[in-house]
Amino acid sequence: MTVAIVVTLDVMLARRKMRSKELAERIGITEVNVSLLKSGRVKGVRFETLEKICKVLDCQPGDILEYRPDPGESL
Amino acid sequence: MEVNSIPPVNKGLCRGAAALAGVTSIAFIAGNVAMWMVPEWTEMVARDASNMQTQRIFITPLVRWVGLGVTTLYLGVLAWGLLSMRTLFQRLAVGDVFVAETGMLLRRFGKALLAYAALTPVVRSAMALLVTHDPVAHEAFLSFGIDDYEIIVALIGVLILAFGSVMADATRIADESREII
Repeated sequence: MTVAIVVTLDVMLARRKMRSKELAERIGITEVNVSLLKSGRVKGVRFETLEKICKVLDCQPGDILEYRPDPGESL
Repeated sequence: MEVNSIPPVNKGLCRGAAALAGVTSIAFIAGNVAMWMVPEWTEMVARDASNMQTQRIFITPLVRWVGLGVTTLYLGVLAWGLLSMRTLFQRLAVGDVFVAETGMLLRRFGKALLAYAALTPVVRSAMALLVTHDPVAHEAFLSFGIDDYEIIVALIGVLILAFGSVMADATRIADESREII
């Protein structure tokens, strides 16, 4: 099943000129987990983690998560 | 009682339980073979397996071999369950708690207990027929009964089966949780 929620964290990191390693250190998760999050290979993000990312990157959840529905898919 | 106050899995205890389960499974099978093979012990095991404590029994070479085969197969079910339990305790001892195998091994042990409980009255009846069969008069005793022991073992088997399913569900939840950052 294709997930319609796309993580655009890499775009936000590029805008803030921040490396994954620095983000990982500042929000207190491993670099591997940041990498997994960036690639969208996770089932979910805790509100706590989302809050820390938004705080460090000074952005809104909508800036790092995007809903891209499949045109042919219906509920 | 708070969840946090529940102590973690005791690894030393698990290692000991794994060793005990392994030794017990082998002892059951080896002990049964020895009982049927040593002539002085055969009557005792035949009476015990058939629950024919006072009736006249006939131990012929055929009875000995068939008795050995039937009881070994029957005890083999329990030994299989105990070996599953041994593997389960080995996994727990190295910290593999929420892995797919633990639920499967628990369910296997539950199934073994349930099968053992269901087989016990059947094997006892078959053994009664076998050991009381008079080769001259061609007469034999047939008895059938269910002990409270078998009921308790069956209930424990069902309980462990249910816990195996709960464990499999908990493992799935733990897997999902690991994928949430």
